[in-house]
Amino acid sequence: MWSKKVKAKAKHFPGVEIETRVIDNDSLETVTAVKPYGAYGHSVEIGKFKAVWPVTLKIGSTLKDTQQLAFREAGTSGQDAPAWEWEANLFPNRIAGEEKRLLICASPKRRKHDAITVRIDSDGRGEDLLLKVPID
Amino acid sequence: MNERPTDEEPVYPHVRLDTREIDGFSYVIADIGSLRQSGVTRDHTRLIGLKQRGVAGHPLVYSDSYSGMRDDLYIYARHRVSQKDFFSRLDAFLETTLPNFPELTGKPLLFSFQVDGDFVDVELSLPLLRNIELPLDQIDFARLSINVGDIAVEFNTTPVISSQETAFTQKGALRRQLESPLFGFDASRSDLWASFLAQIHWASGLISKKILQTLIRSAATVKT
Repeated sequence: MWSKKVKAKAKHFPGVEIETRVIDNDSLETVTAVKPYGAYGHSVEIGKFKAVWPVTLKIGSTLKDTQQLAFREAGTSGQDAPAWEWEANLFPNRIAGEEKRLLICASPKRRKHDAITVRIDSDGRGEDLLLKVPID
Repeated sequence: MNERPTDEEPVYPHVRLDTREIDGFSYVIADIGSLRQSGVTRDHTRLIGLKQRGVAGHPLVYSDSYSGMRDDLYIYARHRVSQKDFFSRLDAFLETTLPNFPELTGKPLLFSFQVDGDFVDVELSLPLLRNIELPLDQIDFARLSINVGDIAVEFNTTPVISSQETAFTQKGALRRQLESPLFGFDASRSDLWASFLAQIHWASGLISKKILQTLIRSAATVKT
């Protein structure tokens, strides 16, 4: 059966290509679902930046709670968090970049799916991207 | 947009100001000096209208110079044209300008268009209006890569206008938020695009083309 990959792309930021995904931590491929006890990655990638003026993006990813999915900063044993945010300063002809967090799927399975809302804001523009994450 | 300075609005502090005049048109040059951000050193300068009705307090031209491996200079300003008007004017500009650059004559023009967040790269010949296969009103952004200086343009349905920039400069600050939609060009090697920007500039109906061109060209060189 064909399953939809867990990814979304922003549409309202001229000159900037922004994609967010849930990825397999080993293959870095976009997943179609996550499993309890699994550790995945949640990424926000600025793929291309073609404007000739600077752009600052404020990007925040939020879960409604941490009962099923939770964010954790890679390389830390910090507490699981329902949200994380960062700021991307984009300049002409410079490589933009990507930010990632571990996405932990707790056991047991409590829901059929969870959702990550990625909010992006920049001078006068804003957009919410919704990642619907099926739980196997 | 909130027009008055507030404690919450991000600003550049410590702005240096220099008031100047061209043929009776007065403006202020606001310069924040060198700013180091995310490993990039940028000098930002802004020309702001001072007295003339409809222009006073508005940003006229932005300029950024970057130091590093390559010293880049970009000039940009808010424009007032639709996609169709833009590409029609660009056709006319390129038809008269390209013959002065034999190395570009007859060569395809490399465009990157953005529609619904995705970029599409295409090579086009003049006239652009006839050869662009995308619906013009769906183009949110375009960049032309050309060796006389790249250009970039964005299109918004709702312009972002700033009319109280001097309220910030009077407090020694410069607001970070830029106007939109913007048109900009790479002025590192040439100010060829200054006259084109003067045509589509938001204030082109309020300031003479000669003064606008002089302002745009001066933005490439001014230092307070």
